[in-house]
Amino acid sequence: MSDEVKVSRTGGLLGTEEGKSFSWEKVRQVANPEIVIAFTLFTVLMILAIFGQFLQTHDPMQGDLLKRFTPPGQEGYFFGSDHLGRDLWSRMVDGLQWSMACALTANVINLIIGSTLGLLAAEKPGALRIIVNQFVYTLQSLPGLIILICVVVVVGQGFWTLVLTLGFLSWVVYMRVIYAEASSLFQREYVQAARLAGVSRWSIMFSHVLPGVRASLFVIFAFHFAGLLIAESALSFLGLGAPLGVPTWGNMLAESRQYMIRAPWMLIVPAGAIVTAVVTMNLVGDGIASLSRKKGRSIDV
Amino acid sequence: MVKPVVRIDDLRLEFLSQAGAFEALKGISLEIGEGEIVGVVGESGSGKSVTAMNLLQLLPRTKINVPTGTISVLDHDVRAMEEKQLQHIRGGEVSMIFQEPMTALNPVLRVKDQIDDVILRHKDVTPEEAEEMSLKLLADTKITDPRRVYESFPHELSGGMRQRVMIAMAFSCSPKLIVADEPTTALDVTVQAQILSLLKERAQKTGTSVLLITHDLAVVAQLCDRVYVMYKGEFVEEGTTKDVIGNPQHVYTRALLNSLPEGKPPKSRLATVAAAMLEGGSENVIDEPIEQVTRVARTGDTILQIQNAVVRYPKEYNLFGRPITFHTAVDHVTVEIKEGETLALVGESGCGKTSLANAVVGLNTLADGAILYRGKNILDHDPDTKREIQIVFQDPQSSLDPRWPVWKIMTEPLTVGQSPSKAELRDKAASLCEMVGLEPSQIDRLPHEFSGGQRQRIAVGRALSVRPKLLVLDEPTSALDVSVQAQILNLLLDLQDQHGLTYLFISHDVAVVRHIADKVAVMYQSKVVESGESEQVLTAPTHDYTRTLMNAVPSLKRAFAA
Amino acid sequence: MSSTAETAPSENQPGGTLESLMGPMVPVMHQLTRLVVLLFMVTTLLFFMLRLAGDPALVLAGNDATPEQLEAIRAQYGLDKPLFIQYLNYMGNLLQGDFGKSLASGEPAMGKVLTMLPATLLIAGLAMAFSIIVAIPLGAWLGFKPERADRRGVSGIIFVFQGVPGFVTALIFIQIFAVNLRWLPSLGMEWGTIMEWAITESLSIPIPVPSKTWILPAASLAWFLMPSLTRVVAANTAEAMREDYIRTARAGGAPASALLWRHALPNALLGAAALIGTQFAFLMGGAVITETIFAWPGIGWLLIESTQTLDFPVVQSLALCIATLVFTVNALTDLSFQFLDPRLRTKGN
Repeated sequence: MSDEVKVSRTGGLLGTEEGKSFSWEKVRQVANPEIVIAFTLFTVLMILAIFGQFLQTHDPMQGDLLKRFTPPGQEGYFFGSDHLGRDLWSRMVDGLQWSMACALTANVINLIIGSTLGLLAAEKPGALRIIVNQFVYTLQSLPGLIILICVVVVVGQGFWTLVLTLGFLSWVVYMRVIYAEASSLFQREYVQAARLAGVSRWSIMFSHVLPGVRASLFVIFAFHFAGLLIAESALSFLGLGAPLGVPTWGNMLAESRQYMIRAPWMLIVPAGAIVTAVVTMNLVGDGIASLSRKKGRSIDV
Repeated sequence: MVKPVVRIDDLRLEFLSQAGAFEALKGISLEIGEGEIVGVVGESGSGKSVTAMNLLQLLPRTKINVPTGTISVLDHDVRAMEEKQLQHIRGGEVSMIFQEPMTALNPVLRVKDQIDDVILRHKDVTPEEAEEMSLKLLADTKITDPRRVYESFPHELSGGMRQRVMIAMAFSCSPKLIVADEPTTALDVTVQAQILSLLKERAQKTGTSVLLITHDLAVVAQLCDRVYVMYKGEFVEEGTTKDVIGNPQHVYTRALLNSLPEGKPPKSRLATVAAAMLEGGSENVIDEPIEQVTRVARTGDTILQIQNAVVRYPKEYNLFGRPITFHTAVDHVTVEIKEGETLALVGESGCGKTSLANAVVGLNTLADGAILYRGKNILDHDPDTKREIQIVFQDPQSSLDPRWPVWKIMTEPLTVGQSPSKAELRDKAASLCEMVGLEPSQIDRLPHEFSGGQRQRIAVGRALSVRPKLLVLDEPTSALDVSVQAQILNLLLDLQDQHGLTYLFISHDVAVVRHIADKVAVMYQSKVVESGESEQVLTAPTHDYTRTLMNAVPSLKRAFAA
Repeated sequence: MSSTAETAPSENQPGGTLESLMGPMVPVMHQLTRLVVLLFMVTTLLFFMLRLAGDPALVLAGNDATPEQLEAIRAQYGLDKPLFIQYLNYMGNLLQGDFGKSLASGEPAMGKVLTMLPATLLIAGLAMAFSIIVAIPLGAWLGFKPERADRRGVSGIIFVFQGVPGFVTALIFIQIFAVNLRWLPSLGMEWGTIMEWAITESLSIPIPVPSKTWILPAASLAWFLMPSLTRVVAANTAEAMREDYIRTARAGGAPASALLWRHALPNALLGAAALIGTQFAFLMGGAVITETIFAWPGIGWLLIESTQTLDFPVVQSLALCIATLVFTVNALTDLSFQFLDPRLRTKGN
């Protein structure tokens, strides 16, 4: 066990000490086809999300009733036009920006709530652990949709209604993973050694435990991002997310239902957009997970 | 020599990975005769397990490259065989026993299914006949209630029982050869002794040849007719066990024998096998003589008293989550340590020694009794005094934060309550490195860049950073190779000499304890059954259990006396 | 013959005699306590949230009610009392088994939920069964040799499928099978002809006959569940194949098929069982969107319907019913582990 032959394939992308010096050699070592695809797709999504306005060909809200149901690629409509003659490409870009903003904000709220509660509950047995676990259990058994609909009924549909409800209801995945991992980290011998040396609990939490779960936080962030994209579009589709008329993927899908025979591209464009975005985020999550697994791996002979 | 069962000629083997090829075997040749027990001894990474696995072609063929060499088993060229033909040999002509009895049996299948499977696969018998044969095999391994074991799931059996099941399985189809890969390493010494003698007896009775892979020279001495000494993918020495161990020719063999504490004067400096593996440079073996050192005897006042200590763990809980039954891990134990001396707690797994060690440093709370440090209950001391007691854990892999550089790990205790500058801490870390025998230039490296022995040095350095008076050492060498163990023992003894440290040394290894301890307390089933001066307890034990333990320890001296 | 040192010493503390008498019942009592706590929390949480959302009197009276009519309704239903008193009254009624009446139709609220439940259970069961039948063999095949090119290709396709939201699958299925090919109906739900299976003259069980209307909803749900289950089975199989006991079996001459089906897969299914439990528990909340798209009269559909109209008693009954179902499925999953994993079976002894 002592003198393993180290075959170190350090990723270094996650900001460890040795990762501070960037080199193409390291990139070449970690890059497998999946990671390259993930990175490429992610870059495209980000460019569209940030610079989308400059890439739109039409006003997404303004329709040309003479050009209703134009098939993709004709008359300057990249992805075709809808029942009101609006450009689907431009609407899709708008939808992307809405979805990304919504998922990102909700995800950050989820991350903060979930990992804080997970860390605190993991530290030691006691009342806090019991309360947090019971609360999580209740939240999981209760259809979140009921709460969302109630909020929608009270304050009406809108970006912040959706983001805050998702933000305050869907952090359970963070809590559970961080709780499980942090519990095991708190039992590690190096944490016990730090306790014996008199290191304070906050210092232990921030310098040993939090860095230990950091890789998992990145991984959940990516996968959960995909989950939130689905949730957002599904709620819009049901008429509970984005207000009617806002060009989001969910709304576009809902509109497409009546014209399935006449204009199938009205279904295919937003559906394709959702699938691409979700698969990209899943690929990113997988990529981060495989990078963090590779770190410091050694081959025992 | 009689007709060989196995013959390996000039075998080279490389592991292929993205990072390149790694040569694990560098042209080895080996022969095992009929009915012979042959040992391959070497430290971790020497390639001994690879040799065993490759004999039955169990390594994934896509991940290895074999440039040269032939392996013939019973005159079959196994390297040329198809998977189908190999399946006939495996378990039929050649069978294997593995190290970990915990994981080597399938947890969801009963023992009966696992043994019967092998028999039905290789012999033309009915399931009823297979059952009869299995029960007979289990009875042959001296299991008193074969029927119960036969019907059990692996987790219902103890480690020793499982290894008996493995042995029964290995002998089930009357193979010509059994390959045993560290068959007793994970077991307690008393169980190890039973399993080894069982293996030898069964092999002799059935005339089966055995290839025994081990890191333990004493096990080889006890069991084997001939031995191959392996170092970095090569056999550096081979011969009859008596010749190799009694009159070692190769410098590595000599160093290995000299690094064993057994038979050396207590507290002397042991020889070590120093090899520059990390730098990948020269791989010189340095043959150091054993150095007699005069250790300063500075026994002072009593520093630690453990009085009637009881540690309990909850076992079952009631409706409201309150524990109703307990497992008592430490049962009214009383011992004391004087300043500057070493007290060893020796015992087998589950005897409560680690629970007691954890109680001393405050990781366990006592259900009853008290631990006094310098005459005052340890719980009543101020934090600074509490820090005079530090602990070094068994596994240097998990006791260091994998994300922290060495300087930060070593100086973490110094940042408590004050904030020294980074430069101060790095200076301090460099001097601690020197103290524990590491290069001060390595303080920016991460733990995984070090070997196991070096990691244990880092852990010792961290404990020393706060100038402790009492070090609790919880099996500090049992995860290490013998030559590395010698290095750490030397270091611990030197540090004690220089700084007047007091040690509470937890170990299962009697030879190590004899080497390092002034006083010994033997623990058995949560109680201390015998304690006193180490020389006296270990040479003239009075308690039955201590005697059993002493007889079970594999020993070079006893093996030759027999 | 095993060394005595290997058996850990143990000792029974003289605890409360009542507690030790209850010994075997403790797990059951423990689960029941958890359920009661859970239902209490769900009810309380929802009660106050729903009251924040709207006034039941307004729902009862309709939009064009006069203030006098509202007062009358409030007095009649006890809505004029302080909120906390209303809460106590509501909980008191619950304890007596009175879940209230639907504000929309006047039917008993819980009865309405229970009549919708079989449709949801039907679609959930069908989807789960279909998903399991495909996912386990496929996952085992993928996990046995995950590095082979064909497996990597299939894994890639499954990875993409995993990114397709359930309602998108449903829409695409409708487009293909109902709109383009006109093979299957896209809307509604039929029990088929219900045949009565008489056990005795007084007791008979209705047996639904499979109907074409079941296919699209169940298939699109299954399509949504299957990729993640397949991936978990594949990952667990691959992991099991690296275990020591596989090496032991290989060294004993076991052929590849025995390694996979007899040794690796049973271990891999332990992990899959956890996911199957989670998925089934999820379906108990009603596959809301699938039911909405296919106009499937299950509790997911009822949930949207009753929450949007603020039909408080029905929403409360739904939540109670769903929480109980989720809890039951979780408890059954735990129980199933005891059958699948022998290590858990003897733990108590």
